[in-house]
Amino acid sequence: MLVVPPVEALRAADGKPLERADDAPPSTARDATDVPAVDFDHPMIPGFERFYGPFAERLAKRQLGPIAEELDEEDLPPRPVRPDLNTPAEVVAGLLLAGELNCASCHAAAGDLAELLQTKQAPVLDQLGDRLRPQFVRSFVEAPQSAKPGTTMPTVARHLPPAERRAATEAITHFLMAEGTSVPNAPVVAAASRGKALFRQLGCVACHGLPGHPTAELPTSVPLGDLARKYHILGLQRFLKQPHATRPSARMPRFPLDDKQARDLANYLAGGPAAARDALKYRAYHGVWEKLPDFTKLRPTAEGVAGGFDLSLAGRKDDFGLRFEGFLHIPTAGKYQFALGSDDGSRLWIDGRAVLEVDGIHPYSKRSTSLRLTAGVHPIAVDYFERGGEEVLTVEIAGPGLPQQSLISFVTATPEPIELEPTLPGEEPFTLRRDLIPAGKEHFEKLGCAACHRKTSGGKPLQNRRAAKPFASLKPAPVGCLAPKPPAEVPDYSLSEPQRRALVALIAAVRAAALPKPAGELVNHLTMARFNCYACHDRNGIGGVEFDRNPFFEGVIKEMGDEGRIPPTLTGVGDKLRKDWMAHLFENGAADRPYMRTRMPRFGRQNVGHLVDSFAATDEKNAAVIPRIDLPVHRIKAIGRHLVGADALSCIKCHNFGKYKATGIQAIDLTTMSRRLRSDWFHRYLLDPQAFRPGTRMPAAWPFGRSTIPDVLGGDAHAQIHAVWVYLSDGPKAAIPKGLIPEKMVLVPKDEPIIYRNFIEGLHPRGIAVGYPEKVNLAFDADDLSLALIWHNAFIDAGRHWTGRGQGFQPPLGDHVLSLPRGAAFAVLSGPDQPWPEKPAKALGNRFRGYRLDKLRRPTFLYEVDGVRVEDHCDPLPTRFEPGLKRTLRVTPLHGPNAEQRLFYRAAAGKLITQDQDGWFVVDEMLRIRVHAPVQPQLRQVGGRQELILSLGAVRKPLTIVQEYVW
Amino acid sequence: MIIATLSHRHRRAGVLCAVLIVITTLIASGIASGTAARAADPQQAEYYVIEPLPIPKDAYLEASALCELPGGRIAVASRRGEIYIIENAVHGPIEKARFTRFAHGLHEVLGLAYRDGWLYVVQRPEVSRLKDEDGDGRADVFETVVDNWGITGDYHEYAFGSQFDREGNLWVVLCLTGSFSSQAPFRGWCVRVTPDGKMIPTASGIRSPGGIGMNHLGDMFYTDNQGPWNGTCSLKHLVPGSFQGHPAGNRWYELTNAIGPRPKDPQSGSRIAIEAERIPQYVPPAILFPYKKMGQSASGIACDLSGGKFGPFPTQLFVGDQTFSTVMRCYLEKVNGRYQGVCFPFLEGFGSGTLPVLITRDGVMFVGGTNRGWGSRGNKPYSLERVTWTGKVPFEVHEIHARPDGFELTFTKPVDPQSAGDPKSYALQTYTYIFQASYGSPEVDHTTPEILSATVAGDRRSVRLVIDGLKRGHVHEFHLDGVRSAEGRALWHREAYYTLNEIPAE
Repeated sequence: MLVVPPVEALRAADGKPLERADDAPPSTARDATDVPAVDFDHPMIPGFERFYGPFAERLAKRQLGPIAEELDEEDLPPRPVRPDLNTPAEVVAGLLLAGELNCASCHAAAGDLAELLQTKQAPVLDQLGDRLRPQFVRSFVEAPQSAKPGTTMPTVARHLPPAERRAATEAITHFLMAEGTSVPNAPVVAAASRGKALFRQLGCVACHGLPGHPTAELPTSVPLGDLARKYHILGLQRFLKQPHATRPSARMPRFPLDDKQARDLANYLAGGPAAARDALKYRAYHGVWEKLPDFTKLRPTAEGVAGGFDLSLAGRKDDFGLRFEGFLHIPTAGKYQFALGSDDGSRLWIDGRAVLEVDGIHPYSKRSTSLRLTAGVHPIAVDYFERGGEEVLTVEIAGPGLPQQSLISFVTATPEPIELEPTLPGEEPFTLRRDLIPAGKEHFEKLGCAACHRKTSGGKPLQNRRAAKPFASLKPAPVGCLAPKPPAEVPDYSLSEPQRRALVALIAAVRAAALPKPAGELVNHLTMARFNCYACHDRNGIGGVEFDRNPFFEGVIKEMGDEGRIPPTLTGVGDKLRKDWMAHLFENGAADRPYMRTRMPRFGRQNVGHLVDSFAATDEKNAAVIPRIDLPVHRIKAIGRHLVGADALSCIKCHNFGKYKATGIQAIDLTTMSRRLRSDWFHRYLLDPQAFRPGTRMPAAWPFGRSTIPDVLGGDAHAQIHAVWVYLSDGPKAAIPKGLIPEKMVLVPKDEPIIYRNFIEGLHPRGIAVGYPEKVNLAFDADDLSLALIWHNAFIDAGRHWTGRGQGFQPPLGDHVLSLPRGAAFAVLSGPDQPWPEKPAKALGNRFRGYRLDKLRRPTFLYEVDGVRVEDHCDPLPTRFEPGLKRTLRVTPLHGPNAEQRLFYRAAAGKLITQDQDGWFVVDEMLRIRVHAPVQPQLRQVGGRQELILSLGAVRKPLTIVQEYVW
Repeated sequence: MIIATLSHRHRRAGVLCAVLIVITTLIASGIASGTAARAADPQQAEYYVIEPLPIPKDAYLEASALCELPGGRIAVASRRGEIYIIENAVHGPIEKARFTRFAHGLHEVLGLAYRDGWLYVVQRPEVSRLKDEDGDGRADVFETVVDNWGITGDYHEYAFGSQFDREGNLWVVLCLTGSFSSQAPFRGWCVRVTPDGKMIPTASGIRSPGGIGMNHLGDMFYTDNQGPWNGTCSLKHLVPGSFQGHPAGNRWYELTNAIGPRPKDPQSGSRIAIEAERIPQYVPPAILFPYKKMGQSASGIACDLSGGKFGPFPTQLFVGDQTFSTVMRCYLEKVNGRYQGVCFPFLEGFGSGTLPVLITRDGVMFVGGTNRGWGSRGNKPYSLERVTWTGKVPFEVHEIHARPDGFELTFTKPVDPQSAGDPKSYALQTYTYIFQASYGSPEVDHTTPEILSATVAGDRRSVRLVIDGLKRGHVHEFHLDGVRSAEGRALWHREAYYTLNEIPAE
């Protein structure tokens, strides 16, 4: 399969280039002009357009991507347009169309023909008011192709005089809308933007294209029409949850949506222009606060519009603030409850008044209050700040008729009221006239609507009262429904010329008794074309994700490449999958590839269940060499377990195993293999994965059929594969293989210190931890040139960094972990009032120079700060309890004497520093320090904190500072 | 919440924590023992002997960098940050090799080079140089030479270092942050570190290197791996000022004017040859290693400068593959001013995933391995092996040269004129890869050129193939199943993959 992003210059029906949706996937593809431009003026059936329509050749070539433009025709690889099925293509196309257009509902079909048609039932029209808007129903009955271009619904009642026809369609509309409740649309802005993301990710784009994006205009896109005019939001939400209740033939499959997802999608699709509005304006601030500052007096680092209370807008994880502003729409006057929760502090403003506050540094905590509000628009604002650790912010509302929910549903960035009008521009109001219902029912039956649509009235299904010839006696000529201009008495499907030709060819084949048998690859292909399986899956080189839609298929683990985002091939699927598992997939959809955003939806066993036997019949092979292993089963399983584990083939490096995640990419769960796969296929696949999935990342563990593990089962590849299969047959109960549970690797200094350079939690990435045998430890930050952490007892666990790929920051293992002030201990200040520099020391132009080890292998860190060279050395300091640290700092001027220089040393910083006896100071009641230096320490107050600093002035000759730490 | 507040809670749990001690060396000795992985290739032992070095039981040596020291010693570094010096490793019985730990506590070392008594170490955060001043065999000075590139804490941000070039520079290739983005300065760049400790940004467009090394002329190459903007793994020439194909790191042109203005971004979905014409700074890969055919993770690079002591391939490059646990062989030539060439399968069956490769001045190869985080055919967690040539010359394609109307193939031994002169003894197909922003690419644009004639030279050492349908920008995949040596033997390796970026005019 080729993977190329979409070309932008698609042409609309009017010849103008289509606007690209601004949030379409990034693309730097060259322009191509050979793009199908199609009018949606006939029934748009993807399977027909892709394989049998006038664009079929060009679509197949387009799968090659831009290279199709660059290369000569003779150099292009072969590209079959459609499968070769030993049946004329037009007849296959006719079968496809006759089923999708539901011809057999008027023209009775029997036997093989009926089976081949797999007729698509038209939507069930009961309780229509629960879903659709009356204005749409009226215009759709009147002129289906103009109300929804590309529909399969024909225009009917064309034989009636205009006035009579108008009366008939009006009556049918009232008859249909008499049941169910139509609710005006009130789109929720944030829901619509979430819905759009879902629409892109779930795979909706595979069949429909993204509204507003060129993909929606492709001939293979199932038209959506103007959903804001067709559905009310609640109705579409219901439909998306249970599409098969009203469209039982499941051309629209059911995705596993929860209520919120269905609501979000419905808001996006049926919300209309109102749903495209932004929810909030925001401003982000960077800084260190203990309490909420007055953001209106600070300069923001970023600002813009937001879809919700999104903390990631701050652009960093710690030391930031955010202010959100918007307008709250209160539907009815009354008493409303508001709840505000955060980690760290937050404040809610309504109508310019602070109504709720959870200020200060704290874990997540929540407060609530009640307010009486008038109906209408109220300005709101939310302030938030974060110091370190977790960050959370929740803002909720509950009130008359509103269960507790996120406030965001009722907020917009601008004060214009949210439209709740029941009509859209250009629509007439609709008031149900019960007196028209009986006439509507009469027309419904007489005009043949009931032939396709199920509709009950008075508890009974309506009957079709319109007679038509059986399929077998139709004339193989462009007459009747198939005439270029069909006579007024018959329904007008607005068929395209190729569609008419295909249907005539089918009728001719039926007449000539030349129909193929409903078996084999023909059935597979017809089914895949009808249900548009080809939109996601290729089979035998036919179909698969289209070039222009390809970028919408996303994977969570990008490193998996196409395998992690493009649905698998169905070539040989009947060989690969167990029959019961195929049946399960058709009935339930699939969730076995969590790394793929696109979901396999449910089609229903009654609709596609026949594929189980059909795929098996065409694909199944039994060709594997499965040797008998002369060992008891429990021993075979143990061997399989060994092979899968870290000491042998390490399958678990890439494959998840039940709840245990693989350390590398997270490929499909090994415990699902035996319930999904046929054992015969599994054996053959493992011997040569490339033969089954060209380009797969799955390595050949038995290259050229040979084992790399000679001492297991005599090095016999077949026996080893069999052992793996027997082991995996235990499914979720299989014993856990080696290498999945990270081992602790505690570093224990014995005779001399251990140095551990790596990512240490609480430090910048250039961390250097030192563990002393005396059970005192420190971590030096080589980005910040600071002694960053000190602690007692156990040093550090290297397991995180020394197993797998070693992602993440590791905290100290021991006790009494204290973090010391960030930044270098030395700085040039203008005077004792200037705050200590905040940036990492290296960002200020200072340099780390490495370290030296002394005779006891203890490091002396070397760095240059503001014109001096510092040698920074720590020794364990015996005390009554755990040892403290004695830190010796030797400072040497780097350049000649500089009388102007005012160098300072910062010995400590904290909320509270108190003086004790014998020169000791106590910092925040945790740490005791004492400094020996040529000058006396000064205690100073800066920005709500206390610091102990030494003013060293101009350093003309080397000087030494000794500082003791006890904690 | 901040760390200082959290750590209060640890005070009482102190005694309990201290009990949770696991001794790492126990884990190590359990897995590291065992026999050498058996090469599946039955002929290999005729020509090359692979012997595992006796790694001490208490060393968990995930070999990540190698270099030759004076006095016939070898330095080897590990991903766990240790450096060992091995004596008696190059010659004599392998059991006599003696390991001494020289340093520990370094951060993922992926480069070692020696000069004037200093061992230069390229570790994740910096280039450092180490020295043993007190003569006890262990380093006591760890001096930072350059640490001017950014790291964010992402495991993927590796830094691979070269040997010194002729001007005394050390070259470092810096992996992106992950596969797709560059979140700290000069991620996705090659930089040079000068003898006086300056860092010079040298080339952009790097994705995920697996090794870096020079050819016999002192030109620098690195391997890049399949992923975004890399349809398959490849060997790339680090021309100063060049762009190597992945645009994520190009944001750092704003920090330097060392190599001129930022190049145009490539177009996703295109082809290498098309973009090479659009973007003047873009240097196409000199050799593509077809995915799954040659390997899956190209790694260390070594040049044979022994003048024939390692077999009949002097000055050729030898490149590791981590996933396949192999060492491949590469021949490069310059066509229209740019390097391009051919790769051949060579040695297989190494113990773990091949990472560093070293060939000593006197023709002994060392191959280090690890498969932590990325699986490999060699199933040991780590390995270090010595490869020596038996002295017997295998029948192999020696070099392949592009010609305006075909190729010239040279052989290590005289060919049988009958079979080598028959076009049917050769099969040839071509293809390329999509040059795109998403991960990897299938082979695309396949063609099957016709071999019109095969003419054996008078000395029977070369064959001239005249071909209809050479494809510029394509890999030309040869299968030489029918070719026999004068002694009637088939080739040891019958596949060859030539990356035809340029077709010579004459």
